[in-house]
Amino acid sequence: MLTITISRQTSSLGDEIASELADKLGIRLITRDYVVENWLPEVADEHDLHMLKETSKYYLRACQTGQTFKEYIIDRLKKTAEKESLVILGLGSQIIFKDYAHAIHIKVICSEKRRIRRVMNKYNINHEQAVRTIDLSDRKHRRYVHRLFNRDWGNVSLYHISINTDGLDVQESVNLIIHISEMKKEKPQPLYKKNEKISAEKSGNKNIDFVHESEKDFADILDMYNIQWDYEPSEFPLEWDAEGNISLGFRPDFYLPEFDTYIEITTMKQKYVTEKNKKVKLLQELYPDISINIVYKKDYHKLLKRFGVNDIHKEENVGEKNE
Amino acid sequence: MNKDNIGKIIISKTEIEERVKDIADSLNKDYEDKEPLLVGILKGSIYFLSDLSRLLNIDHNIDFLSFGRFKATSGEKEKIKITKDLDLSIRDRDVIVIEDIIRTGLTHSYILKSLRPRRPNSINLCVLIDCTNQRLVDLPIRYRGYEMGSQFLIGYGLDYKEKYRNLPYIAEFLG
Repeated sequence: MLTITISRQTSSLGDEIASELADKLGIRLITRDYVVENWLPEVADEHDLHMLKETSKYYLRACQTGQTFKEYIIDRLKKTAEKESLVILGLGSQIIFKDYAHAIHIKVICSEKRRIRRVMNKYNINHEQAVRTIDLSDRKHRRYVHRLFNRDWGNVSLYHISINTDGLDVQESVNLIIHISEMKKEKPQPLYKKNEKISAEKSGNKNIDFVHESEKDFADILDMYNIQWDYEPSEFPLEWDAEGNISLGFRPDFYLPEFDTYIEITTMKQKYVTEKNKKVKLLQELYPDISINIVYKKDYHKLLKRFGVNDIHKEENVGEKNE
Repeated sequence: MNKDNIGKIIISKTEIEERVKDIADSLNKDYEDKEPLLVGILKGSIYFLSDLSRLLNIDHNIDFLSFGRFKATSGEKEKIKITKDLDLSIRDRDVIVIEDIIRTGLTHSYILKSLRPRRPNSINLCVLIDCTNQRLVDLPIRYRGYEMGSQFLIGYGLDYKEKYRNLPYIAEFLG
């Protein structure tokens, strides 16, 4: 049996490719909507279904079988994949089937510019609204994979190939995937061996151009604790002019996907901090679900001292004590 | 001991005793018919853990964890590693991590990440002093003694350069 998993950026044509691929191969397409409509009602009541649509956290709750919803879905996916060939869109399937010899994992990507244009046309919205829609949707996908599987969906080692639809249309992409599927039939091989750890998702901050040295130091602390982070991944629009253009935005320094939390490092003088505080207040009003913590200059220096950054000693006790 | 560095007493010996008793009462109730494993994080937790343990009337075990920073070779980044691991298995056990103080939560998120793959039945955090305004990441703290600000504290396990841990109260550090 063949299992093709497709992970996609919002409006990268991943949905269309998955649908066309399933049609052409004559096999079933499993999507999140399919699972919610067809599988979950067997183990979830109306309230559960509503919450499952609202928040990925809910997938970690126990369902009527005693398993979590996540475990139930994994179980159903694996059992179904044993009986028939499938195309699976999203659902963390690239991780669930990472050690399956007959699974192929595809990532569909596209330039931001083109994705924005597609969203503007599809929903008849302006540029800023499209940017926000894409940002929120991508974040939702990323959060789902992180919450449920503690993995970064952008980690390239999770996929056999990435398809860039800037240069390939739906048909070409589908044909490419079918061609690879034929090749893999001859020589099935999993991306990962059973129980093999997924390759590191971050290799430190060497390749990132931090705006401030303080941000690099903070990234070092996060690396020290093996905490995954993204640097300035999202900008939040805060104010718009009469024509709907963004007049004020805020891009927090770090995003910690495991904690679904943004961190802003502020080492500037107090008079400039007031402006930043205003932005954070606005951000919290406009995006109440966003968790953000600010580290002020005084606290930041205490933090560096406490964690001994730039003052490294072997085997030093590093509990978050007073020193 | 240089007493000039000891400032205002923030939590008296009596107040600590009363609060530790409250936490023990909660644990006695929540873990009735269970046999939890109390995991103390060295070194700050030892006074809190020993007082708490003596107030528990449920069967329980005690173990300790310690962490250190390591840099294997020059040029390589520092990493946190366990320097003293648990002696007991936590598989299917109800674990309560005991800590004197939690600030940013980075260390404790690492502790939880280290313990969860060992498949305990449950794992909860019990902390005497929780500096919530310094928190950077969310932690599932189930039992907390006090919520505090960002002042520098000593006593009852809290130290300055390994000193003052043995004070029976918690005070501001003036040094």
